[in-house]
Amino acid sequence: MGGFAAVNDDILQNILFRLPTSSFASAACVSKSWNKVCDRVLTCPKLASALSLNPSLPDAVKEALDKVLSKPIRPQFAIASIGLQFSLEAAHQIITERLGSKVPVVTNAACGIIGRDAITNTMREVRWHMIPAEDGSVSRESEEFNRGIVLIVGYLPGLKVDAIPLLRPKMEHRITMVDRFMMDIRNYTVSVSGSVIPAGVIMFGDQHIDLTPVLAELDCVMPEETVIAGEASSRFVCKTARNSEEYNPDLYFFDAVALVFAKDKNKPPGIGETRFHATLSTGVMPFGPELKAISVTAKGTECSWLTASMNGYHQILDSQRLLDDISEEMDDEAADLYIGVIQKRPSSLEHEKMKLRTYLAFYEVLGGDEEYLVVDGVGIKPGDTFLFYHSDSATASSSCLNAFEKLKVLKPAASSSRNPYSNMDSNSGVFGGLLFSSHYRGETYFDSFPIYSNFPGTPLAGIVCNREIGRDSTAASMWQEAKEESPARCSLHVCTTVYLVFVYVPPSPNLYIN
Amino acid sequence: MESTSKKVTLSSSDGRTFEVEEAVAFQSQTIKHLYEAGCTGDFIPVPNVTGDILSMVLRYCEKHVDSDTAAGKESFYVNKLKGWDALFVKVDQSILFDLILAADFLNIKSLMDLTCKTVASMMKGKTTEEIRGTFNIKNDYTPEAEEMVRRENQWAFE
Repeated sequence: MGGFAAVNDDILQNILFRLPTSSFASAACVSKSWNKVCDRVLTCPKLASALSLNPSLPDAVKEALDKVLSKPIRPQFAIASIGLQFSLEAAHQIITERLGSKVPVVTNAACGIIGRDAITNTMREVRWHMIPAEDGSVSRESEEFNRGIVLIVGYLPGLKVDAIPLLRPKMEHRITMVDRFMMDIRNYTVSVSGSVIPAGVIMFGDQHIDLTPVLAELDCVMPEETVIAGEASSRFVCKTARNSEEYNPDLYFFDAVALVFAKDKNKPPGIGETRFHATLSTGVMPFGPELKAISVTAKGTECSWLTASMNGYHQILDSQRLLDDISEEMDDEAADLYIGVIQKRPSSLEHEKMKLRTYLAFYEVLGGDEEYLVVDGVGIKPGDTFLFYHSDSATASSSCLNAFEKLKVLKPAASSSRNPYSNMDSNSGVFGGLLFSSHYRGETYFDSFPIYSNFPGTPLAGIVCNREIGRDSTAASMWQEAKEESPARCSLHVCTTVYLVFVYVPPSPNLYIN
Repeated sequence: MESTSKKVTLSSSDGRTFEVEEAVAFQSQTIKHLYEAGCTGDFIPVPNVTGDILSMVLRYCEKHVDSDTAAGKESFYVNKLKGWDALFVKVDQSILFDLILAADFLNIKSLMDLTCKTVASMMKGKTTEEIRGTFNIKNDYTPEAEEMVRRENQWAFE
């Protein structure tokens, strides 16, 4: 006698929760009672994240993987963000090999990474400043930067996750298949949850396409409580859980990918719920009078030339003078200039065909002459009204404090006693966070503090983005409220940080009756 | 407050008695609670632990009695103690498990952590079969059921 035969399940759990992931998986297959105890260790959802700035790609990826897999977890999805000097394919391959063939993985190229160092465990917030040379190549100076990875791996019992790509055929029409994408998300969600509404969506878009119409459609279809967050404009590679023929990379470009989190209809009893909660910190400030687009000429899909007048007047404004006046007015010369355009567009929903939905879309101002204002991107129509916005660090700081306050309400009222041997029921509340932070927000302060100050020790990963995705209906609210209109919807931001936190809600004890 | 030099007497399951300082014995939350509850006669019984194991546990407690003090937290002492701990758990598997059971019963968290960590490290990097072999555990799965749990954990074996 003696040995494991003598110890009870609590002691066995105390031993097994100390194992790294791969040994834990071996232990889970030892016997029936061990398997039960392993399940107990993982009753609650869990995220694990790590950052490495090791300049060698294989070493950096290994450091991050070793760290996230040093404790028991059953990976259900992974998101990796790497520096621009690392090969996306090489990093992606190491990660997918280690996590096995059934785990959806998205690896993207980021302008910076945020997280805890895999070795030293200190918080790092790294923003790389890429200096593109004249010919578009990356200058030597930045080669020492742009090396590193932040990796987050999640286990969310009660939810199913898969990566669903937005396809564009390499042959034939070469048109982005938005309808197919919407159907694929819908079909996947229905097949796992029985409902059409996913719990959350994390998206990554390719820098060569404009995700605005796709996001507008998602915003239309999904109820307010479905959180959508992500990075709209970078490079990424992805792997879906089902190695489906439908997504053959020989036939299609992937213009975007959505990690879709849907409730598992076969969720075992006794498993709680994972909820997504998002909040935004904007870094732009509207100013000046309301203007109206009179004529709009799109140059391909790259930029738009528009003439504008003050709303209510007919005289075409001299854009050159307007921009000169603005730059004279602004204290901060480094500030970026945008226009926020209010667009009223028909709803894409069949039963709402006649209804107009109001969107707020941001366009970077590229320049102007006596007549035309030139902005990055297309989609503006004559008659759309707009305001100028400029990036503003004071606005960013104060909205960051707002985000801190908003996330604070998710903190448990009293610090409940934690069961140290597992992530059991006492660990209800926020168990991890992701942030999508704009690359334009500068280095003056820590963007991650709303999450890590509120939830110290919680796994956290941040991606420094070009365009941040986060659903919001308040961005233009003051302006809209004054006109007594419904708030404009906005999913694609500039100079903003989107905070996404994962909240665990334990099963209600009442459910055990009957 | 009681003076720290006060002694308590513990009695093991096989009737051996040990006289130790309170501060040593009170690292066991179980003994501390028993004492505070006043349910003590001439000695405090420790019915689940043999004399051999109890003497080892008390030796551990004596070593760790200062670990909470400021001096004990200096890195020199911490490292020295770590080295001592590592040697302390270099014992036969059966003794290791007896120590776990004693630490559990006596509720000594640091000893529980040390011994459980030691057992966990014996599993690290091992396959399912190797774990069964190391700890002499019977596989009670049917081949079909085992196939199923392996598929669940498949990613780790690829």
